[in-house]
Amino acid sequence: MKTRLRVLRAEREWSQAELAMHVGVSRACINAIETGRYDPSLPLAFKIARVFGKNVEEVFLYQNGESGNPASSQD
Amino acid sequence: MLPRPDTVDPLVVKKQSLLRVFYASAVGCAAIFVLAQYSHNFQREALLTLSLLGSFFVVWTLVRFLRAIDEFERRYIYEALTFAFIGMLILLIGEAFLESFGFSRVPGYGNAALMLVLWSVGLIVSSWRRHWRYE
Repeated sequence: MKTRLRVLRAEREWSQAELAMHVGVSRACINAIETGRYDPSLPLAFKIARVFGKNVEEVFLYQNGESGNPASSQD
Repeated sequence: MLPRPDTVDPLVVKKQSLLRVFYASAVGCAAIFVLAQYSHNFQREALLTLSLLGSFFVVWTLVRFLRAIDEFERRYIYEALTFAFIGMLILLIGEAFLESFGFSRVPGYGNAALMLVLWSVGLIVSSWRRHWRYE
């Protein structure tokens, strides 16, 4: 899963620690999500998207499948 | 747009405080329990009761800590718990084996302390791995 977290954070001039405080998670968690080493749970993904005032699809991009629709890649 | 939060994260402070209280109270309980072994009659019973009540506080603090951590940290706690569980299983089998050869039985509090030590070692190893992976 790809994420636009870094870009959105930069737009607001937030550090990882500041975003972590807004979301209510650790800075390491934000770092791991940003670097693609950790996929957040659905509630956390919604929470992050809400902090930026965006939809989940605008923050997190599913990589498998050309349409970007997770349902289309399920076998 | 959300306001910029303060530099110090209250959640981080809370987690650190809970962990400190947890370890301090665990050490305190162990000290009271050891002290009780060298006491007699009423004093011994009072100290053992105090140690038991302290143990409940230790467990309550641990539960509060586990509820304060986020889902990412929970993975590392899970790793530490797995480490402690497997380590404890090996130690208990070892204890049972030695007991059958006439070695004295390890008291329940001793096993609880061993579990705590193994969990702490697991936490340190997990934190170390996280540091090299994500920092």
